[in-house]
Amino acid sequence: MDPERWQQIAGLYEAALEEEKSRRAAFLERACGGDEALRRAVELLLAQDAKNDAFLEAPALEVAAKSLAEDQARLAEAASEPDVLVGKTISHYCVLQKLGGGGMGVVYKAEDTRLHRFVALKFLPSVVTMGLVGHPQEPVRDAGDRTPPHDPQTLERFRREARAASALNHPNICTIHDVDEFEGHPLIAMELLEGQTLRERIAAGARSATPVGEGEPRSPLPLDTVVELATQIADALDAAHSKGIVHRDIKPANIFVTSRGAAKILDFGLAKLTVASDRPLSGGGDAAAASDGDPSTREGLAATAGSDHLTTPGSAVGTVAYMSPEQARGEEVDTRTDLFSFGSVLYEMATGRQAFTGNTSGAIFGAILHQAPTPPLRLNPKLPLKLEEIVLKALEKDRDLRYQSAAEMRADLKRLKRDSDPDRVAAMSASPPPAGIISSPPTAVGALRSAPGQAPPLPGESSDSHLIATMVKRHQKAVIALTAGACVIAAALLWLVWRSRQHPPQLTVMPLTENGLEAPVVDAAISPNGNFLAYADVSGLYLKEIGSGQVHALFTPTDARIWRIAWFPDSSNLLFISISTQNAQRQLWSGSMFGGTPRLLRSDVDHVAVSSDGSELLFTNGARDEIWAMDTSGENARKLFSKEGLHFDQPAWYAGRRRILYLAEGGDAPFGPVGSLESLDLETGQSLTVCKACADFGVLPDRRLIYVANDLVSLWEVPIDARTARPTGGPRQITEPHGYSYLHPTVSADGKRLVVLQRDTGVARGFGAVVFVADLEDDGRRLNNARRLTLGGSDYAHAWTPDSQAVVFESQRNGRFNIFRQRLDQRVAEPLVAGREYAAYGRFSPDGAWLLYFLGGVGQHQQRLMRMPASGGRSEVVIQSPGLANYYCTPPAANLCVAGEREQNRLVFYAFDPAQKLPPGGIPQSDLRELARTDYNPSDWGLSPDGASIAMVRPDNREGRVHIISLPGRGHAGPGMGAAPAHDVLVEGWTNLYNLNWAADGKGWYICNAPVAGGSTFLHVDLQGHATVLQFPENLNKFWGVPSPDGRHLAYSRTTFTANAWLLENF
Amino acid sequence: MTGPSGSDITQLLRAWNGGDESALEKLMPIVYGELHRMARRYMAHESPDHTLQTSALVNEAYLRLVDAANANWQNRVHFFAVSAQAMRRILVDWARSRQALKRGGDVRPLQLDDALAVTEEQYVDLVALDEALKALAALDPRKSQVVELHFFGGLNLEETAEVLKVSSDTVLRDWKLAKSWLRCKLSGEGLDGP
Repeated sequence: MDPERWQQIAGLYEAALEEEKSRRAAFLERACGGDEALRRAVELLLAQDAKNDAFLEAPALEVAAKSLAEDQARLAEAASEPDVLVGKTISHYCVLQKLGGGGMGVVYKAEDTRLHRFVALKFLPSVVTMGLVGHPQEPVRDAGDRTPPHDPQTLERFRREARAASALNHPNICTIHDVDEFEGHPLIAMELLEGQTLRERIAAGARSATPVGEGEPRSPLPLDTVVELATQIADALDAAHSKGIVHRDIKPANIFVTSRGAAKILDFGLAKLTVASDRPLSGGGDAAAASDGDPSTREGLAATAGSDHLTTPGSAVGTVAYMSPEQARGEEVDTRTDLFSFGSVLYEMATGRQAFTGNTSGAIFGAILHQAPTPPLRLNPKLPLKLEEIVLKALEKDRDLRYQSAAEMRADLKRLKRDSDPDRVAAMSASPPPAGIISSPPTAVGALRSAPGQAPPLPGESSDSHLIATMVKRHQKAVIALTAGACVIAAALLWLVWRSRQHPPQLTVMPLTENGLEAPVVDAAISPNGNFLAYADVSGLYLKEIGSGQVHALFTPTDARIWRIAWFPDSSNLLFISISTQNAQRQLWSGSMFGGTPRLLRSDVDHVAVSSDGSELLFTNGARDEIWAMDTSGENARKLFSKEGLHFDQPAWYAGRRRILYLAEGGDAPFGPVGSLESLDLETGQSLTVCKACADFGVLPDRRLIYVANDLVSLWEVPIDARTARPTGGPRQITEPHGYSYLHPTVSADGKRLVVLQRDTGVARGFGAVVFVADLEDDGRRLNNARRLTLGGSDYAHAWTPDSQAVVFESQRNGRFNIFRQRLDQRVAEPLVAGREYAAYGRFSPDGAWLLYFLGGVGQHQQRLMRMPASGGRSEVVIQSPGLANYYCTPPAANLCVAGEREQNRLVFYAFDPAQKLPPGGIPQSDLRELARTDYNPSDWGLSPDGASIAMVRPDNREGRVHIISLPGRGHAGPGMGAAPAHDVLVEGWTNLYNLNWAADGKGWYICNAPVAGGSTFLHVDLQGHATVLQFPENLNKFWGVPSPDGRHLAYSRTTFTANAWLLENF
Repeated sequence: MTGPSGSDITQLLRAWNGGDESALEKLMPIVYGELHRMARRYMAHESPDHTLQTSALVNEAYLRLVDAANANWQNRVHFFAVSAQAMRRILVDWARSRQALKRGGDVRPLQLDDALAVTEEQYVDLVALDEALKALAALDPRKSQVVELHFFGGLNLEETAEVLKVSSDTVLRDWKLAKSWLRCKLSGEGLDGP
């Protein structure tokens, strides 16, 4: 086609557009004068125009970024194991959601389709069932020749036992509903519980019981709770024992505390099959041989759920800390065995410490067999003497001297309860420090105490370590903080082996921390000698002995959180940076793993590194725009480098101290580690780019650079030049993308161990956002009593029911976004809209008769606003338009619903009647009543409760502004193309405003301030622009809050994730 | 130094406009960084953002990359034009390398969060579009430029009109016709007739 011809076509096309649609054909007929090709071309173009589409409407950058996100999600998905069971029906169970998984099996939430109740479904892991049915899939650690011959009867025996256990009917025993089979794998359906394990409870109690900053032992639970739970447990054990069923694996992780405060013992009858014996190396094989055919001895099968005690990596991993002496010796067990373990649990509940500790399982066995535990009263002098007596009697090593029955123990507990002095009860939660631990606020030095200068205890030096270990307070970390758990929430402590496809030497990967959703690990660093992990979470700085798994609390600064950690080359001194919770001030401290008061070196420091000879520190200032050096004493500080517009992260010395490496990020958007790794020659001032697409990094002694690609999901290495750090070879990928983000790699001095933080926001694992509800006070300007409402799984709240009694939210918990409603007084959400299509933004019509929602997703092409009778029924399309951009309805008084539609950069607002009779396909465009339009191009808008105006915000880093347009009164015609009356309210002192919701009284808005640099502040802004900050108990990122119609509550969604330190070897 | 800042980008654009092809290469990581940043944020919010944040995100990104206010360049209009060209080159190159990667790779169908996925309608093969635009430029340079400025450069219609020194109405008409033409071209429906 030549340009002339094209001009002809284009001209006709334009002219035809001027014509009425009905006359176009005639017009073209005439105009083309028999040139059929011309006519066809114009018609073809006109036909395109009629297609109402999104073609080229999203800018190229968005198209590309979404394609990239898609690629990355695909990679992540391909790498992580697809959860094939969710959404399937197995037997008569519809699997809804994965709750947790680990060595003991995978647990799902499911619906029993016959009885219409929710259950927890547990599938035994393949490693166990393989052992049972005779196909050991992988070498079972330390089981070796102890693994019994795989007789086909084992599975049947398992069934029989599980069924026997299922006969237990007791309020404090998790009920087993059913034992079934799925493709040859045993499957157990049991009671679905909500709450947390005792293990988590103790850990949580330990964190909250003592005021932070006082180096006191953490009395995990109030005495009355201890006694109450113990009585229930004793009662449950009595019920089981009277039926001849022994649990054999009583430990905090196997006891669930429901949100109503009831104890539930988990896994009765299952322990026999799943407990790793991890007995002293002599006994195991003989015992198995001696009692051939008795499954109770087949304990070497595999991993356990527990992680109460991490034994030497590579050997059997199991819970030994709560075992009885007879179990430790590999002898037959009886009901009294459970009482010993229960005694151990009770000891820990009362003192916060384990009764028997040691650096290796051998040492723990030694303690169980031969050592008397430290009397509880010495650890917690406020305990009633009677409780100590009960605990010590349960812990008698000779079972004939122990309690002979659970009933006897229960009676003592009940007597204690009756006799308890209320004053003593009240005093329980603030107990004094035990001897040997000095508290010195604000640093709380509950650390390893030994002679100054003494070398740190090495794993394996069991006696010393044991001694030290018993002197320090223990820190129990939560496993998986799924508030709603199933009967079994098991933590995998198996070594995970990821097979690197290109590189046959097997990478080994092991978790070092098991923090839950409530306390993600913020930073972690491996000591240069490779023996210790220093890590920080919201509760403080901790030291973990990697060999033994022992964790010690090091520092818990008051009014501050630890932000960064760095070790000195001596592997005993370390540096850390704290951030004040009051004013975000960052301070650099120097301290020792043996305790002592940390020394403040400098304020306004964001990141620090130590030179390899330990003599000099390199750091960035708080604004991250300058790199400095100073002596380890904190003196002689001098600025080394800065460059306008650049921010720096993770400075490190290189090539002696001739060079520094750092990450450089662009000036105006320090969102995170996007940038390049630079190497700067300090003498010449010349810099070179080592890596353009990388984020956090570390350098191995053999001059390999380990770095996280800037997609954050893969870990790479590249050899670099010893002098310049310029790459000397090609990069190699160490880990396949696995759905996690990697952060902060650190390496041991020998280059053999690598620790990296892994962040997991996995929705499939039950994370993602959850809905919280808080009370609104002071006319909606203050928050109180924030509490979690929903289960989680990407729950996003958008509305309340008209009666203010329930939150309406969408959730991805069943794999797709569906709409749910959950009442404030209920623990379970009720699905409102379920289906394969994406449904979101559920809201009720003013009269509450209809549920409205979007189908197809916001920002999607084919956006549909749907309605469904509130009582259930058929869904119909209300409005269908590619540009639908949210909608709102007022309370009944104003009785108005408004939908926004985006046209180019304009937003047009239409009133619609949710109750009107609908033609198929929804209200035609021509029947929509235009209320107003705006060129303001907001990022969010909201309809006032009186239906009189619409307020809008858009992010601007120079000012904060709410743009308000007035809507015409009811019954009036819309303003047509003209601009609606508008005015602006300046929000003094605030910029970057997002997400607007009107306050219920119509006298203000809830708006989120989210600076580009990160972090968010939630504001109540009144109609004059005065902002009040609402304090949330947690840090949130850009979010929104929806007030209830009665103005008494605020619902908001909070994203959750876990972050933990992992150890990599053979990389 | 590849750290992007407003002035760096301006310098690079100026250099590229002045004929320094390597400047475009230096611009690439900045745009890629922006892409990754956006992609990460799409992924991080595993749900739809509240209301219109997706477009806010894109606007933000364009603002950083093509911030005329900070450009301090005599000719703001010229700056827009150059940055849109640069954007087109970089994004099309990126799409080309992505295709090359995919051809080798084992791509399996994916159930993505709908909010994240590029809908079929929205999806554009940037490489094919680039080719089609070249053909359009031969016929009707201004319409091709409208697409470049609006779609690749992220300029709104008023800004596009400013660059091209025509009215907004003309830009809108050009845009519609160009879209129709590109749609025909990309779907293989020839306008040349049988």
